[in-house]
Amino acid sequence: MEIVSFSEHSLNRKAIYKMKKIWLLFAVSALAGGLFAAENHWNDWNKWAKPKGTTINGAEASAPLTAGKRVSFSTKAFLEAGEWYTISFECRFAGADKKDIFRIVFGNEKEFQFSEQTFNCQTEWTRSQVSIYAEKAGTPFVGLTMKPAKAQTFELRNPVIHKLSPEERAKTVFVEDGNMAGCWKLYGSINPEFATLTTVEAEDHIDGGRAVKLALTPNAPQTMKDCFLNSPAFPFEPGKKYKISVWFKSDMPGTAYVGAAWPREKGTKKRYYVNMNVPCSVDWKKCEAEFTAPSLEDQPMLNRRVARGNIGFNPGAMKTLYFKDWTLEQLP
Amino acid sequence: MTSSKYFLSFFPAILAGFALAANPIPNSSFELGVSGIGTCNYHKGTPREQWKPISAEIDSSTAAHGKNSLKLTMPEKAECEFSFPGVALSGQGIYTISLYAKADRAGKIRVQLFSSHPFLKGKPETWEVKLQYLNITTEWKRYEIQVKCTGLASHAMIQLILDDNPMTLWVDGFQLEKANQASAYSPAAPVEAGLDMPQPGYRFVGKHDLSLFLANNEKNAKKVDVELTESDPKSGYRKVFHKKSYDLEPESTKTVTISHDFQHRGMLTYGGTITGGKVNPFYLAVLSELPKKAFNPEIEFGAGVNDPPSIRRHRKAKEAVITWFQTDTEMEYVRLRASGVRWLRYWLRWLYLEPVEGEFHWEIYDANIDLMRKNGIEPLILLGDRAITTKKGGENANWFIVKRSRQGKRTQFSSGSVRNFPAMDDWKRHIRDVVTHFKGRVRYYEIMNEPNLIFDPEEYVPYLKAAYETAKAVDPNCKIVGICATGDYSGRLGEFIDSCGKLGAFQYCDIVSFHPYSAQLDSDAIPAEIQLAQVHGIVNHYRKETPIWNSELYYIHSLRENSKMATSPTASPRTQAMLKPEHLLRRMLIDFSNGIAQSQAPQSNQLSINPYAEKIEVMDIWKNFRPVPTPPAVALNAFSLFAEGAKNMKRIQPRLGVNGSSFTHRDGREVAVIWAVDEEDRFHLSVKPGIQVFDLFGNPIAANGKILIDGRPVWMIGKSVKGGYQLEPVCPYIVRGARAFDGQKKFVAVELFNATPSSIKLTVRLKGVKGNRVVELPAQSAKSIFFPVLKFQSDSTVIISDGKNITSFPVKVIPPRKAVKSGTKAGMPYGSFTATQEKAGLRFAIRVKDDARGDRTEKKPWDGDCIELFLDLAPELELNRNGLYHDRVFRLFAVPASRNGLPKALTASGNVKTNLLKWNLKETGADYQLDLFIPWTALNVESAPELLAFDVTVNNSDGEKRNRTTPWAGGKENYGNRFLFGTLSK
Repeated sequence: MEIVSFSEHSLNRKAIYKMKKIWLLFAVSALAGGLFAAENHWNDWNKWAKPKGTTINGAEASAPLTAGKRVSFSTKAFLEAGEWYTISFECRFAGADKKDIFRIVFGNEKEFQFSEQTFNCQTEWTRSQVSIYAEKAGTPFVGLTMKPAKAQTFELRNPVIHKLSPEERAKTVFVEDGNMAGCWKLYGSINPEFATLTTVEAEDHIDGGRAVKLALTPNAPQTMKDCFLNSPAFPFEPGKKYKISVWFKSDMPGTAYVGAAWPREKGTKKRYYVNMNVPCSVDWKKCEAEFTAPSLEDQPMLNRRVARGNIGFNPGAMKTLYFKDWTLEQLP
Repeated sequence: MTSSKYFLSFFPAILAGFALAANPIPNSSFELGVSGIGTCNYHKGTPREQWKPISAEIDSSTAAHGKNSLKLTMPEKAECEFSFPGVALSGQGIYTISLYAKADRAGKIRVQLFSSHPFLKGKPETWEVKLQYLNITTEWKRYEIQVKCTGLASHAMIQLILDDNPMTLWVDGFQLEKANQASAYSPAAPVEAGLDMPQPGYRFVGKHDLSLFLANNEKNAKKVDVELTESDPKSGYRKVFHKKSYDLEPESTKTVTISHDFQHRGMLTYGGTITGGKVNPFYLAVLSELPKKAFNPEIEFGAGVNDPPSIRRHRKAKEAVITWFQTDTEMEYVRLRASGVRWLRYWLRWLYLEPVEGEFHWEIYDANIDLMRKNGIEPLILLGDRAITTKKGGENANWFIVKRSRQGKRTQFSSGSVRNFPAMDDWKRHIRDVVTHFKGRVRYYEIMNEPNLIFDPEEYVPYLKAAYETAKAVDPNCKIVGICATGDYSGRLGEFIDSCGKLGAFQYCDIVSFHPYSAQLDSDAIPAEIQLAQVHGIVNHYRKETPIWNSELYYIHSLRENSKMATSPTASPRTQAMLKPEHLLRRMLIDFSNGIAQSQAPQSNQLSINPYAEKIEVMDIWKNFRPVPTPPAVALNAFSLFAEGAKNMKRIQPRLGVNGSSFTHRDGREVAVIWAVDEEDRFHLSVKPGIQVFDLFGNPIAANGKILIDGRPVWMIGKSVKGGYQLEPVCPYIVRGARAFDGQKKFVAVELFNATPSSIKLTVRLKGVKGNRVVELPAQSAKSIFFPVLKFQSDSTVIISDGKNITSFPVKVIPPRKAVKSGTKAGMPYGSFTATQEKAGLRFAIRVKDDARGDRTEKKPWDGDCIELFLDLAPELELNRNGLYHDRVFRLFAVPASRNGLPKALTASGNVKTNLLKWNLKETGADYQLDLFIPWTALNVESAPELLAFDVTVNNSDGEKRNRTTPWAGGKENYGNRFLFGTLSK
């Protein structure tokens, strides 16, 4: 296992502008939706601001979407200082196509920006999650928002906000249950025409179940240098020692990489990450990589205490990467 | 032939455009000299006469096509065969063979297309010989014959035979085509090339010249590019050693001498390409030159063979001496010695030596013995051959010795042979005659071949005693090799040696020989070294330090090969005789390092091959091309190079799954040779600096990385080899197999083996089955894991993870057999049985309905009315051994009183404690019933096994021998395949 580097990426300026615009829309719709209730209200749809025409059927809420019109479900989160929370939900977009995405956004944009996340819309029920850290107590808005290219239905169920125990925040596991690939997303600058992200049966894995498949499409240009995914945010603390483990295999022997990225430094438009190269073969192999997160002095933005996972490969002979059971564990 | 005729002969070819390519025979006009062609000639009268080889040579003074013809000279009555290499046939139909020929006198020749069908549905190979005779005149003339081929054979060779018609014959322009008549002659290609070297068919490592022949068959000049290669297709070795362009004049030939440094040992092909085609190849073995050193069999180990070279069993004369193209008998002995041979076990056929009382024909034996001695090969004369058995209508049926013999009943062979007891006076006289004749030239005599298949110990030992006393009286220095028990044909090798010992046989032999067919290699069901230890144990019991020799083992196969042959309908004697170099070398090393004093295992013809007609399905002896040492001969050469004159030989087992030998080289360095016991296992070898590594042929292997070890031995030589190398398995764990078990609950057992020296924890899953299992496997051990299934699949995949890697192992699942619940009655055509598993043991109640009682043979209970019981206490283990028995498989035989007076009895395989069995066999008329209780302790276990497989077979005899076998779950092969047994569910 080779640690490539602690390095940096420029964040797309256009993307930041877009996110600001979405938040504005979300705030307006949330206010229009009425008052938010107190804690433990997430399973009560009456306490949510909902798009017009939403129907409630038990635990499920279903909203009709009109082409080109942005809509949101939103509510408040009651956060205690110094705690981590995981927000999770299941959603389904009947009639969505592969270009459609939805987002989870926060009212306190600056504080929770790194936890904001886009997800690929799936036509089957898909569970997604994201973690946030509350540096101080507060009640920010949390919104799920979508602007479809064509008319469809936005269905949402089982929204949960859960305060993490010390054990839970020391270990993050992304289990490929059902269409869990929805938890991962192609990196923003990768054209979705060039790569597909699905879950498949992992019949040849020792545990069976499902695995995430990241595959180049025939449209992918020969010159494509990188194909990778981001995970949603998870708890991540400066100066701590971590171990990433994940099962890999590929269609052809090659090299994949796995790592973590954390928030950009204020005003620099840069983000930082650690990536480790993993030799891949057609048989499943477990990658286990240990690293230490930078200190707050080195990386002040780690005060957000969250990071995202990276996983991907450099296209060549290898065109498909399978992975399973991505786990980040804090070591003593 | 005039030039106009020559042109006309090409005319249709020119019209046809591609007709030049129609003739598949390379060098059909002999423009490439003798490249690729073969002849043999042999005397088929009696072996008493010395045979003079007949030459086959290129004659450039007369030709019907091109510049050369082939001249075959047979001045006296004999038989001369000429052959081209094998060519591909294109299916069923009429083929035309055409040739130009003339002779020094008018006479008859035979032309034939020789092919052989592959083995079909258990039938032996079938020759397809389509022949016609031609009357040859003294002028060049074109002849043709038409033959009809069945299309069953893929390849054939054209042969020309002079049958007892002395003449000098010139031939030229052979052609084969699938047509009703011959078209104009055309060579195989516009430009042909061939490589050749004079005899012998081997060279020692070093620089030698070879000849490249080029022939331009066209009327215009040509420039051709030639690339010559040296290759060993079996090992993947290939080297280009010559690359050059050549200018060829119209209708010309050219011979180029090329000096080549022969450095790669093996049986190699020298061929290559020429613009637009291939170079006619030749074959050569490259050997290490062995040190010229005297051999003292009293103090050093030597490798040997059976039978002299150059013997062909001719249809008209069983012992014809053969001479192949460009060779003679002495050259064949030189070849054997160059291959490392130190011994020759010479079958002295008493019938041929003395066909008529007092008329001896020593010539052929004298000649061969002299050639052996001259070339450093020690003779061991086998006595008694052709005298102790006779087949109905056999060649010795009317021989005076047989006529004076007492005849016994049939032998253990199933071929209907009867045994002869030669009159003791005749036997003693024969021994006296032979020992007297060879006194001073031959020291070692073996007394009868495999007598345990013919005689009881009581019958054999008197012959041994008479031979010993007679021989010693004539030549006190001679050594008598006795007992010679074989392990095949149910020969009960150990029992025979032991019984002979009880009768005092060890007083009458200096050396004990045996034939270990029942334990050929260390991978066998009974590993070879275990059998050797047992034989040592028996021999030492009677007389310590008696040398033991392995005087014959023609078939040396791994367990996997033997299992495959046992279950393959296409297995044949020829398949059995196919000898792999690694197997011969391993057997020699096993003998060498397990206290065997001498080993003469293979037959001499297994050390040579006539490789130009590889695809003709017939034994090599029937091909006429000059012999080339086989890969086993090259491996034996390496053995002699490293091991001759060795000291301190001992067996080593560097780790489980790897066996070997270590010894001190004659120059004082340490030597170790290792191999994987199971040819499918793989290990990585790494050695310390200063240790040289060689492959099984003696080729150096770069020792600076990991060297792959499989079933082929690898030599290590250096000052301190012990402790200077390391081995690790390539894959630390393997799936040995999977077996399906039917019953109330269906399940599949998957057997895993941990090849590492430490315990490992594995997670295992059967593809398509929900959930996985975690198993801890102790170091170098096997364990089975059970997966419940809803239905069985013949192919499956076992997925294993050690926590870091996941490996998929495709497996063929051994199919399920019948199952019956403990205590439940199972019906059978002959009656019924109930098998009950109890805490203390197994209980059987078996009822047999029989209409008539028959005979049976003593010691062969299965030959008459008999209940055979098969038990396997570990059916889920050793799934990689094709159903061969392991030590927890037991056989019991319950027999009622037979018609020929043998009493009722219960016998069992040697691993059953029969004294603990409780049984009662009750007969009611011809019906009989067995009540049997087998305590677990009788099967060497304390309690019931986890799984139990068994079968009940009823053999029926209504007359002299068994006429029906009715198994419950398995088949007739139960005796060798435990995977046919059914299961007893609790």
